[in-house]
Amino acid sequence: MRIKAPNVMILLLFLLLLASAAAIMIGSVSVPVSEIFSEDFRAILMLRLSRIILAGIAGASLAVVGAILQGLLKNPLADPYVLGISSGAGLGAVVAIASGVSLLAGGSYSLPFFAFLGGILATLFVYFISKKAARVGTEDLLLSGVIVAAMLSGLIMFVVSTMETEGMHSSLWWLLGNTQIFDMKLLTIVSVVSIFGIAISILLARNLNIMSLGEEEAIAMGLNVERIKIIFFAISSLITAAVVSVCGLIGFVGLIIPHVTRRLVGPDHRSLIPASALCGATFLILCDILARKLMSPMGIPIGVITAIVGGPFFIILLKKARRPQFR
Amino acid sequence: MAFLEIKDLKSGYSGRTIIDGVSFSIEKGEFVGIIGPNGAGKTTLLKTMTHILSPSGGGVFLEGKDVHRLNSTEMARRFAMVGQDLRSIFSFTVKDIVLMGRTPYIGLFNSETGDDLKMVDHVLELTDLKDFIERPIDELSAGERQRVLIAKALAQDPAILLLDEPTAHLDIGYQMEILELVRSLKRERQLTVVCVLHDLNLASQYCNRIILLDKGKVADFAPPKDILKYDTIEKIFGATVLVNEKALPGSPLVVPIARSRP
Repeated sequence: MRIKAPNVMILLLFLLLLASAAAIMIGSVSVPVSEIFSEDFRAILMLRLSRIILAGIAGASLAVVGAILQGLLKNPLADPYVLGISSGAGLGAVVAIASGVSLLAGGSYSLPFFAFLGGILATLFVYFISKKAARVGTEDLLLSGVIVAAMLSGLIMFVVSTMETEGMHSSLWWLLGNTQIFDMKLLTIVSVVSIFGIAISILLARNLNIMSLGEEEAIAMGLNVERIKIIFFAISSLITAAVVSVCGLIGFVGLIIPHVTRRLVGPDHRSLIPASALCGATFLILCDILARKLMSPMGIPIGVITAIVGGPFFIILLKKARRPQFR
Repeated sequence: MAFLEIKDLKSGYSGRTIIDGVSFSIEKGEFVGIIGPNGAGKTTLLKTMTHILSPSGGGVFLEGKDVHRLNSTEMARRFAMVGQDLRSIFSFTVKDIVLMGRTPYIGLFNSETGDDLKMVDHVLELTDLKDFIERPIDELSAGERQRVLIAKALAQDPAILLLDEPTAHLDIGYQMEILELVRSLKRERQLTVVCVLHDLNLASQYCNRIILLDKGKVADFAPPKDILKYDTIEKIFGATVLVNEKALPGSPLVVPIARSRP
C-alpha cells in the first residue's frame, strides 16, 4: 500500500493517543490524576475507557463513511446519513421506545437492534428506488436518500409526539447522540463491525480514486463500477447503522472530517481513509470530553457539541483555503 | 478476418435507439475519423465500442472476439478512451492520474508495482509531461490536461485508442499538437486510432479513412478525398462549403461559406 504522508499519519496517531489520555483523566467526577488507575476508581476508569473506545470507533467510522461517500457520489455535501440511514435508524429507535420493547427483558439490545434494522431497511429502500435496469445512478441515489429521510423524519416526529414526557426525553437524548455504553458485548460487536469495514475500505481505497473521475472514465479504465458501488454502499451502510444503533445521531463528523483531512494528506483515498479514521476518532473523543465536562453531571448530548464546535472550525478552514478542494 | 469489426451495431439510452445498424471494419494501425452532424450518434458509437454502453443489437468484434463478452479488465487492456476533458473533483497530480491508467493491470485489493511506475514514466516521457509530474491536474491548461488524458490512456497499453473530440476545447495550436502526438504514437506503437472530430480539415489531414455518420447510420466510409465533397457536406450538414482539393493532395480543405457578405 502506498501511503503518501507517513509523517502526517504518525502525527495524527500521536494526537489520537493524546486525546485518549486526556479523556481518561477528565470526566464529570473529579478524580486525582495519580489515582485514576488505582483499585478504588476502577469502575470510573472502565466507564471512561468504554466511552473513549465508543467515541473513537464512532468518530472513525463516521469520518471514513463520509470520505467514501463524498468520493463515490462526487459530492462535497455527502455524509454518512445521506443514504437515509439516520432517519431509518431514528424511526427504529423511537418505535422501540414508544412500543416499550426497550424496557422489556434484553432491553439494552432491543433498541440498538431496532435502530440497526431501521437503518438498513431505509438504505435498502433508497437503493432500490434509485436502481434502474442494472445500474444505480448516483444522482438518483442522493435525491432518493434525501426524500426517504424527509418522509421518515415526519414519521419520527409523529411517533415522538404520541409519547409521554419520559419517552420523549429518552427519544430526544438518543436523536442527539450519546457515547454512554454499559454493555461490553454490544461495544465489542460494534467495534468489530466498524474496524472490519474500515480495514476493507482502506484495502479497496484505490478504486475510489478511479470512481471520483466519473463512472464512464472508470468503466473505460476497466473498473467493474457496479460491483465497486455495491461493495462500498454495503460497507458504508453496515458500519453507519452499527454506530448509529448504539450512539444515536452524531452529526457533522462525517461531513467535515474528510474535508479537513483532505487538506492534510491530499485527495488519494489510500491516505485519506486511514487519516480520516484517525482524525474522526480524535475529534469525537475531544468532543466527548466537552460533552461530559460541560454542565456536569448531566452532560450535553455529543451531537450538540460536534455541531457547535465543528461548524465554526469548518468555516475558518473554508475561509483560509488556498484553493477549493472540490470543484 | 478484419482486425476490428463492427457488425449491425444498435445502441442508445433507455430504449431510445441512437445508432441503428452500424457496420464497418478497420485494419490494424489505421487512423479512422468519425464525422457527422450533432446527434448523429458519434459519441454513442464510441461508448458502445467499449463497455460504457451495451449494444441492444449486433456486436463489436476484435480479432473475431466479441468485445462485450470480455470482462472489464480484458476490455480495458485492449481499448482506451480519451474524452473531451477531464473533470476531476479532487486535485490529483498528473502522476496520480496517469497511474490510474494502470487499473486494468492491478488487482482490486492491490496498488501499483514498480513495473507500473516504470510504464508511467515511459508514457510521461512520450507525451512530454516530465516537467508536470507533481502538478495538480486542475492547475494545467486545457491542452496540457488533454496530454495527461492521452498519457493515462497509453498507460492502459491498449491496441485501440478511441478519442471523443479530443480537440474540442483547444486553440488551433493545441489542436494540431494533440493530433500530431496521436499520429506519432500511432506510428511508433502500431496503435489503431478511432477519433471523433468536428473539424473537417483536421479529419481530412490526419485520418486514413473517415466514417460519415448520419442519423445513426453509416452514410459513407472512405478516404478523406472521397468523403469531403461539397454536395455530401451540404446534404448531411446543411452547410454551404467550398472544397479545395488541390492545395493538399489527398486532403481536401473545407471552407464554410456564409450565406451573405458583411
